[in-house]
Amino acid sequence: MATGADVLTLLCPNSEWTITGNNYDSIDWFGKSPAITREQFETSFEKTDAWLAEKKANIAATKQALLDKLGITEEEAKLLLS
Amino acid sequence: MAVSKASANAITPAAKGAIAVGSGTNAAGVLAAGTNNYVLTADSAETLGVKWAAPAAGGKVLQVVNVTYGTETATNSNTYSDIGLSASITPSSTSNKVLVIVDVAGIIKLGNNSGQKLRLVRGSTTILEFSAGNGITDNATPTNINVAGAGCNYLDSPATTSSTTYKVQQGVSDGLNGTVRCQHAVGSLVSNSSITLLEIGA
Repeated sequence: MATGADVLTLLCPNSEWTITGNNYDSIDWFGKSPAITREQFETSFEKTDAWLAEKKANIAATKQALLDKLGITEEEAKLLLS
Repeated sequence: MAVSKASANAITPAAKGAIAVGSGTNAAGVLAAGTNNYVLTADSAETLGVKWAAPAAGGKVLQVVNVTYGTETATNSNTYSDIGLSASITPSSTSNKVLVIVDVAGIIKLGNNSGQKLRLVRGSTTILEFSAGNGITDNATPTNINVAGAGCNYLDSPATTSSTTYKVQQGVSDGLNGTVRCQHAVGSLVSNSSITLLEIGA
């Protein structure tokens, strides 16, 4: 499940921020105007969940493609790195 | 210092807690009861050579403050910001020390070129950077690196009898980016950080 930090990571990649929990009021924009509104923040958790799932799937696919290219299994890769 | 039997017998206790004390050869006096919890202390400047005094506090733990904090805090800035972990203590003497014990849990960095820095702060003064640069998390792949925690022990000399607040701050390591977090929670699994302050008698 996405956290407030995940939402800000997705929506505000070019702004500086710090956040505590999922609380919009806790966001410190380091003296600049808020990069997103409370509504944008609070309605973006579902979208962020999907983004995180996609990222995870992409990483898994990239990993599997690399394993296929090397012709080894994940267990064999772990053994090589141990 | 010896008290002869004759002189000690000649003294009649005047009050509860009073004790007979030798004051010279074949001479004795009465030392009145002392303050509660005081101890008998040798002092050649006293008429009787002893007095009641507060026990020395050196090396003793006088008070303990412990705080835990379990809400995730995150930042993507190189500027330090609070992770929410803080505790306050009021030393009883300016010469006493404060031993600060910090354990930061649930540290995580996100991004391929990210790293975390942590520091211990008294009021607005940095007293210890206990992770800088890529000390806790590195900038290599994989994208996410979870770390069990980081901590420090610091013996501080605040030189005050006012309430003093210690807290921990984090930031993205200088020159790096991404995001860093403390007390990272995964589902119902919560990471609790803690800070303990011990006032140590001088």
